Amino acid sequence: MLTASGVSFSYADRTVVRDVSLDLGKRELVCIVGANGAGKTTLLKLFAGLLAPAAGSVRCFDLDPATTLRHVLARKLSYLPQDYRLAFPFSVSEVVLMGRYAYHRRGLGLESAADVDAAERAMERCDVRHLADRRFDAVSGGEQRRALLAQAFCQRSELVLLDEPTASLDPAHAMAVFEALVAETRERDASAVAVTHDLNLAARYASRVIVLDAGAVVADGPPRQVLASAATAAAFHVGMHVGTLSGSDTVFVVPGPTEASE
Amino acid sequence: MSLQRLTLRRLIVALIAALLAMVAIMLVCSLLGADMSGGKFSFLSITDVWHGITGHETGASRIYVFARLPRVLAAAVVGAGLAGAGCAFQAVLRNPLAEPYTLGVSSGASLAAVLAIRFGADSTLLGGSALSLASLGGAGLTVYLVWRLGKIGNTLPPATLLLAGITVATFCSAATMFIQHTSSFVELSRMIYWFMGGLDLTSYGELGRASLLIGIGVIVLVLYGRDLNAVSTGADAAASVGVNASRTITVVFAAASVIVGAAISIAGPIGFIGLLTPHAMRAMVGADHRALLPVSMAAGAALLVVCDTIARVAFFPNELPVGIVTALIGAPFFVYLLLREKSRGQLWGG
Repeated sequence: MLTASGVSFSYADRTVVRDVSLDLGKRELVCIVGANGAGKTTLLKLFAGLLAPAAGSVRCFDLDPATTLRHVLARKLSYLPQDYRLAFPFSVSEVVLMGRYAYHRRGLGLESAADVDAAERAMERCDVRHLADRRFDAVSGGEQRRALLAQAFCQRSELVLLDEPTASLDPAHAMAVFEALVAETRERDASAVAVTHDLNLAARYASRVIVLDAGAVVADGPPRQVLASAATAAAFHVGMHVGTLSGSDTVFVVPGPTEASE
Repeated sequence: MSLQRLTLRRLIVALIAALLAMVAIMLVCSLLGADMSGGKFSFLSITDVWHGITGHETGASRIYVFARLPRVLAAAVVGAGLAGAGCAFQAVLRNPLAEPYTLGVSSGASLAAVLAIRFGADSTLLGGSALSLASLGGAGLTVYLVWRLGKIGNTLPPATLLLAGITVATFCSAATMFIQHTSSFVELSRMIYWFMGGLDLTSYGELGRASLLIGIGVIVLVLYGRDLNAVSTGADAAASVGVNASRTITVVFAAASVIVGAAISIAGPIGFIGLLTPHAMRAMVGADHRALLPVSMAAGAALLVVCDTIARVAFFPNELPVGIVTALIGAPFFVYLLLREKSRGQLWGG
């Protein structure tokens, strides 16, 4: 689905992503974690074709995302930027329906009944159907995030890239975002890559966690194993206490002093 | 309950309503004149005009065909163009306070116009149309400069575009003032008259040329209406839904600039139409540019026709430059807009 081989990227003379190689298959929910400035967002933008690698290559469904026409790529992958602010008073449903733009190229590209159908289903999945006619900038931050997720879902892309989809959300809303993500990817055999700072969400929902440190992948694998590794502690400059809630298989992470780490 | 969205039916209804209103306003304004015999207003008889055009020429039909009609048509074409260009600039710059002249197009056109007046090109070379050709050229040159300065690699970020526009505009304004400083009193008064904007001297030839350019630009803008929706949410978000923001910004910027250059070439830099019309229409038809662009154009046409009619008859026998009327109506609206955006804490819209 997505293959990166030896990908590096620099802003001017500062190397942000170093020699990243990874393969992403179907039905994976990958969380990319790492300290601030570790290169997570840049890596996600390289995957989305918003940046072109300085070295190495990214292939997404056998296409080079940086050179593929955007409307062709948009049917394969969607990308949710961390910062999404509207300059104009679009309604929630108008924002969600933008997810269908890639399916109309000519003329006015007015949305068809099938598009509306896809949007309605996506909005129900993300629990924003009741907000359809509200102004996007008038609903709460959590609702905006869920509406954007609905936009990505109604785009019906096989790969969803999300940059901090739960930033500034309370625990219940953050979980709702990941629950929707899990349900959608399972139903459609799709995959998702989310950059997140919330290690507990990563532990709970991800099928795979990738740790970035100074632009390089230092750990990659199942959440529990990766989060408990020495490489993760080193990447975050803090120890990680990883445990399992009694009576369930839910993994939790508590950062703490290095000497106390497992 | 179906999703509230732009359907073909809604689009057609909005367009027909806007066009009908526009044509009705154009018709009434073209017949309205000041009463020469001391009364307030007078109307040309529509039957007199019609008979004059289809049969023997009458006084009413002469006035209509040679004075009123080209003027009303020019106001409509310029108004529609400015409103469409303003709407497009607001979308690509993601700034509700942008207008057709934000990126310095009018400053470049003005500099070229004062140069033409200062060096007598307007009176010796090709008569009045040399002035309009000069301003069109000036507008084109400015746009090219701003585009080159604003470009970073293959992208055209709104912030650098804005900075480039402001820089070029400031330079052109300074150069314009320098030229004015060295001009004679007669030249100076002609320059000031040009700055105030006016539609009183439009010939059918000039109107035809400007209409062609504005028409082409307007068609391009309407075709990019949907992509403008995506671009107004930011370059990365636009890319995600399949819209190449840089290409859209470049094409729309070029089309809108052609429109503005052509509008300035026949009417001078008329302000506020391009700023306030898209705002007023956004409140009526929503933010979707597929409807907003054409409806704003019809409204801009109607608004400038009304403003020009006020300029023509309000102080008869003296005529106001139409730019004064649009500014007197536009400035209070601009203040209202500023206060509203401030209170919502989103002056720059991200």
